[in-house]
Amino acid sequence: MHKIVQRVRFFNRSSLLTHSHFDQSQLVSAFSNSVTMDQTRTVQFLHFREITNTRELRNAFDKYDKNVLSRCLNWTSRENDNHHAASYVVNHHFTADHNDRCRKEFSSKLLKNIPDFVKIVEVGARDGLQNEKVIVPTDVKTKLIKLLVSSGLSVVEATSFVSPKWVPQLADAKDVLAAIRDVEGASFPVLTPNLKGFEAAVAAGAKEVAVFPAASESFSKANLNCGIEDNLARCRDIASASRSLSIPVRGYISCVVGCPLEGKISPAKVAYVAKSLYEMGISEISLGDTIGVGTPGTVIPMLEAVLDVVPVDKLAVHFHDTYGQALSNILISLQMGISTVDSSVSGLGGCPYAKGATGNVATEDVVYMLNGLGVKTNVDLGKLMLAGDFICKHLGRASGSKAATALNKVTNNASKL
Amino acid sequence: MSSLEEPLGFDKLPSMNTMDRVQRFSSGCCRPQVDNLGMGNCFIEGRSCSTSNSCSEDNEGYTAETYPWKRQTRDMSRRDSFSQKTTIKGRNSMKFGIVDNSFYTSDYQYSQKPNNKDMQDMAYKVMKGMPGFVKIVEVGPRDGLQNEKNMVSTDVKIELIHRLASTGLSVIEATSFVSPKWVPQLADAKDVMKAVHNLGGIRLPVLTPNLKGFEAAIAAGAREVAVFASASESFSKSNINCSIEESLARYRAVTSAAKALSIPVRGYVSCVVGCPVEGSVSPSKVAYVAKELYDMGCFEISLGDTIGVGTPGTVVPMLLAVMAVVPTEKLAVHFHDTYGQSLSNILVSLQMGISAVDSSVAGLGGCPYAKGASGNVATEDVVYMLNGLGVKTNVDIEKLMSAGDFIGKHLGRPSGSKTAIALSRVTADSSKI
Repeated sequence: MHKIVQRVRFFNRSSLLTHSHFDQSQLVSAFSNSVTMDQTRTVQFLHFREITNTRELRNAFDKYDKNVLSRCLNWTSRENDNHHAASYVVNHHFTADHNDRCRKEFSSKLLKNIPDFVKIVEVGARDGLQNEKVIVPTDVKTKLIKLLVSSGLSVVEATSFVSPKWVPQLADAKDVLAAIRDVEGASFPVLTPNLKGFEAAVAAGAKEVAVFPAASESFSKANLNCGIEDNLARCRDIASASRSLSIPVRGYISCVVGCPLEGKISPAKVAYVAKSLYEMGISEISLGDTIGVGTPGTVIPMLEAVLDVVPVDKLAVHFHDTYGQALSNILISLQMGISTVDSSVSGLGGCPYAKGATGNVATEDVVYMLNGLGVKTNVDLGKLMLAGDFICKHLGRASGSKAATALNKVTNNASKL
Repeated sequence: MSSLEEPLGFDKLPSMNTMDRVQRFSSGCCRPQVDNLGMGNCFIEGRSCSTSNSCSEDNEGYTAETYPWKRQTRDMSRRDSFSQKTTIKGRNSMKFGIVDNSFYTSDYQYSQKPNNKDMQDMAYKVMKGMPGFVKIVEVGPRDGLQNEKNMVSTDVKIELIHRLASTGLSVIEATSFVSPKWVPQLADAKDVMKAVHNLGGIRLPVLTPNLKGFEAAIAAGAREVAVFASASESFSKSNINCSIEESLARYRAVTSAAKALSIPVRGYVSCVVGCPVEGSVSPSKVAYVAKELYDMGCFEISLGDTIGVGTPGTVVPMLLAVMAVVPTEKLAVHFHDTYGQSLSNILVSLQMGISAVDSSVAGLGGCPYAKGASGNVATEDVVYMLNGLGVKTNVDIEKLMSAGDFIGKHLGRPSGSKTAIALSRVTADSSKI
């Protein structure tokens, strides 16, 4: 596997910039020796231009005095102001308490609201596999789930208790749950479309379930054979049944931006469904762009509408990468404060509405971006890639994750342009 | 009358016909200055109203329309004027059942009940710097094709350029006057240039690594050239066999010769975030090289994430450093999608006010440093996102897809653009979940 070469750049204490560029070869370690070279992350600093008070700045840097630093350096880059333009982003814990302070304090306004920690909900084993034509054996599913848990993922959607008539791939739901019963360190929500499915799930040992209404009436009718209100009524049944058993219920809303039948979906509709779910006690509401047509232009109004009625910590986003838009939609959601993202290892799971097009966003790509943003996920990208490799070998397919593909193939040779 | 922003009761759901209508806010027209919200500097370049036809169509019913993100007061009276227009504007009109990109284009339906001021501020903050118009620089025929193993015939290259020219793209990088020893694929640079240099209304920059290449380019009819320096010393040495300073000296020769002939020169900076040899690259180095190129007379500097390792966490500081020394309107971004990160990097660049984006039709062009991995970001995907953001590009995505189809067929490969694949395969059938 490719080792990303890391360099830690520091400013030369004795010769802070007075010129507009700076010679990297003069850099020396400025901070304490507790800086460690973490092979998966990088630390970068920006240069400082025309520092007016170098001694004060130098001392501030030594002591990491953030008040003085903020005063000396004008963090807001103003085009007409030639004094200071500096910010830095830390992707790596060079000391544990510097990381968060740094990112918050010194990062651009654009990145400031991004949460420090993002929970990734891995849906590969369910949403990813359910559309596979060839039945995946139970032991392969089980091994996949175990590999995913070992990468640090704390929520791994295990299976679905829908009728095997509709989703033959997941007919072994009970067996999968039995096989992972002793796996620790993660929760394993399962889909339950109705009370019957819920009861089967509980009987099989499920400790968390999920329901999935749609924000589009036509889609709801076409896919779940019932309208939005009927579906919400079913959800209410499940929510009350699960309350008495203290089983958390996750809610998915599909078609939050666009519907294959209706076209555009009004944010108000999504907010209505989200509010209903929230009021019935659903623990987390995952907003799904089922056909992947969303872009920040449509995602923002939708999130605004939902955030009006549901607190941000109850929300998750589930973008599909069918049009390649998922990561930018995830970024914008993070900027709006969302801190839970659904994704699927190796981008498993196609789009049932555009045969051959992609579906879920790849977990590896999401983790790559979050690592780059300095956001904690507790997911080890290397181990995640192992899980992805495993299932892709079994399915006989290349990974749907660009980051995984690149990391597997990069060489250190710099070939000619 | 129920406000559109009230959660709809089930009995008040609009009929499907109404849902089909798409409200479109125009972008790029009549935007007031936003200067009283204390949000810090808007890196917005001066924008003039687009004179394209579509702009005036958009403006019916939105006389004092502002770019949605820049609304300062949530105007309640606007509620009634949500014009339920259809979106078909002559472009993107696909038959029903095939997902039409414009169906989902941004119609910023902001909340009119400002009971959550923080939320509005946040949304406003992340979108306010967005330009109204983004120029797309198409690099497919050069950057896209140059690494192809199998020689692409001159005719095919010329046809590709013609097709791209018909999509509305205003800048298409045609070829490169580097030594055929290094880039055999572009050995026919002269012939390609001679065939296309008269294409009206399109700029066709060509790469020129030195004065010799520049003279050959001019002789072949080029009217715009490009030079490419690296922000990483090791990369520069291993790729163009000279140090950064030496390369800048060469380019100074090119830019003075170009100035004498009034030929615009575009500057590329490679490895702006990471280098395959050195690892991460300091933003100050990038700023230095960018400034040098700008000072020597390049009219635009394209910042290239050559190995695609950038994420907003590294792109933002890099852009801040460069924007401190080169005006934002002179900057372009050239992200590679090797790790799938390019669209989010482009988005954050737009949020910072960058308004020129390099991309390659069908995602042509792999990564020479990760064999088999992807390289350039696909123009179709970029245009899809920009359309969704309400940013004008003047690019017709359908025609773009057909150009991509053409070259994909010729290369015997599926498109590297997810948008192109999805738009060509979507059906209206809703299968069971």
